Amino acid sequence: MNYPLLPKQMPDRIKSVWKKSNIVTTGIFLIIGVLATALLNWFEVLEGVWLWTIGIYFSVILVWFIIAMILIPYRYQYHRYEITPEDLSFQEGYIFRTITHVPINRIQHIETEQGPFLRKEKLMEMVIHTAASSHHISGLDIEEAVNLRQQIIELVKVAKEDV
Amino acid sequence: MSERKRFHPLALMIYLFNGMKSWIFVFFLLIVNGELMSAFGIIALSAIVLLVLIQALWKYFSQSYQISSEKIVLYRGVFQKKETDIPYERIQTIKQRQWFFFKPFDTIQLLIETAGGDSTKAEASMPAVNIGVLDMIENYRQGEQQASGSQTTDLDMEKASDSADYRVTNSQIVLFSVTDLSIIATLIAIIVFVSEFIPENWITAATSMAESIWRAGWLASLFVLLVTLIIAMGLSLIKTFIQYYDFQVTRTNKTLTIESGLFERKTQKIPLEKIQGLKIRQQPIRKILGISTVELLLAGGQESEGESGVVKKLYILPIISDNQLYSVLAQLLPEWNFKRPEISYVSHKKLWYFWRWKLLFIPLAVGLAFLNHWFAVAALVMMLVLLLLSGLNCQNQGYQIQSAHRVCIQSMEWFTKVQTFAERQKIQAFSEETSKWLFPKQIGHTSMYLKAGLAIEVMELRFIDFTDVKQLKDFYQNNY
Repeated sequence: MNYPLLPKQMPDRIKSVWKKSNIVTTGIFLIIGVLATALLNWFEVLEGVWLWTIGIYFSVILVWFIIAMILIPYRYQYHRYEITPEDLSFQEGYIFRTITHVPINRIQHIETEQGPFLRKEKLMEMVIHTAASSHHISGLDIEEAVNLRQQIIELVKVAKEDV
Repeated sequence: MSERKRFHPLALMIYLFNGMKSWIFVFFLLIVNGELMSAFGIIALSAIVLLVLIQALWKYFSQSYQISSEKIVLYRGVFQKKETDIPYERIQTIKQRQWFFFKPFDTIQLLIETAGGDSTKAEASMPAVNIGVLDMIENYRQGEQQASGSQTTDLDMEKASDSADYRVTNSQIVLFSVTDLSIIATLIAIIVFVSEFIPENWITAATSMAESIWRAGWLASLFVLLVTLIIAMGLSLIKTFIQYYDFQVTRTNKTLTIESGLFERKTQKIPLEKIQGLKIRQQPIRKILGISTVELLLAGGQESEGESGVVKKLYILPIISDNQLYSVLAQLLPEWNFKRPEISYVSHKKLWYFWRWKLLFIPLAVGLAFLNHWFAVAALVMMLVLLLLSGLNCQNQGYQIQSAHRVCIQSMEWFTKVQTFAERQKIQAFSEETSKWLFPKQIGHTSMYLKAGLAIEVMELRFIDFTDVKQLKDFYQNNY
């Protein structure tokens, strides 16, 4: 049996967004690491346990970066969503896989977000808020996001229920 | 529709009292420093009193309320006007407080909560109003409910008497308090109090005393610890007793009324359809004694923080023996059709999955042993505790789909066994999880999200078979 994949997929421009944000995040962690190393060197304690800690820190970041980069196509394959009249489902993750279902009539409000990388690729992130939880769907086409939002609002109007 | 009214003049007294209370540390300081009767002390005191008085008057005359047939409106502010509208059908719960000295005036404090708001304050707080105001609100609110076409059961008709459906006796309160594990929290509260309010030199005196006790040997210090514990227990007992004195639950129409308190009588009205879920808790000591605690989950900002920062729970049955539990619940909530849940245990044979990552502590401990033996011991102890906790969860987690619209999930919170009951329509989201390697073995996790207070209550089952995941998903999607 194959893992169930939801029908709708994001535009594949999301992959370059992931790549960029991966690079930036790693960069930030590297800078923190370099600063820490400089600080330790300043205090002249860069030896023994500290040297080991720094070494492990950098290797963890690098390994993490490489794995994340390799996994991007897989991650893309498993990054999907679906809307039915009853609920909104979305899935993510290749190694750790999650599918979340939110009933339309539980949705309290919807937000759209757009960071610099997403904006460059003309993509959007949608945040679905229920009374208890909030869920992110990232990498929708702007047009699609607007449509989706409209569609959800129409469905919410029909299914009127309260907390 | 009533016109705009001010609160009862007693509200002024409350503002004054609260204002003074927030300055109490100054009084304390003045007394400790012996400056209470000096010119400085008198000037400082009168300045504070004047300030508090002006504040209280300002507050009193800038607030008012209005009750109409469809909503409650609160007005606040002089320069920046603020108006809060609460429609009756959005009320999650109504809390009524009455100190014993308010009784002769027929005056109560009213707190009205909705699901919204992010503060720990009630959306509508009326410090002192005539008791008739509550009746008026209740009439409008229940009229609203009837009009909105909710079906009426026989119970609505026959229930007219004032007798409570469930009462807690004094000895039960004592038992509840003695088996309460939050004594530790009380201890912390005492320590915080001591360190915050008692002058520095007292503490140094106490510390040097403690030092000499230390020299006097272990036995004496153990004795002191024991005495402290007993005092803490006594205090906790008194606190619980005052709080839960004459606890009673009454069911009328579509509303549950919970009442308790010795000096301050607290009454809370909860519309049935606003109950998000219900939790039956049983920690180990209470399990041995065969008693449980039942808690209600409500949406919205309850003033959830207790004095010591411990989250206050809304108990519907603070203490009840296991053989009475379900019959009392069935009587209070006939709609929920309560029966003892027949939990199907879902992870009995999956201990390995619960344990596997925690076993990594063993190589870690071996590594640490080269550095320091105690680190290794600490890592092992931690691992054992984690193994015990996850083992308990493995043995106890399960679920039962009780009807087409209600589910019961059983799991462990630390050492406490918790059964959460929830109506399908109150479940906010459902998620299923698995991993690349768990998928071929058809094992996954599920989470269902409820709104409880301001936070999320997650009903989670870990490492269960896909057949169970499917069952729960079908239930949730109403295909069950």
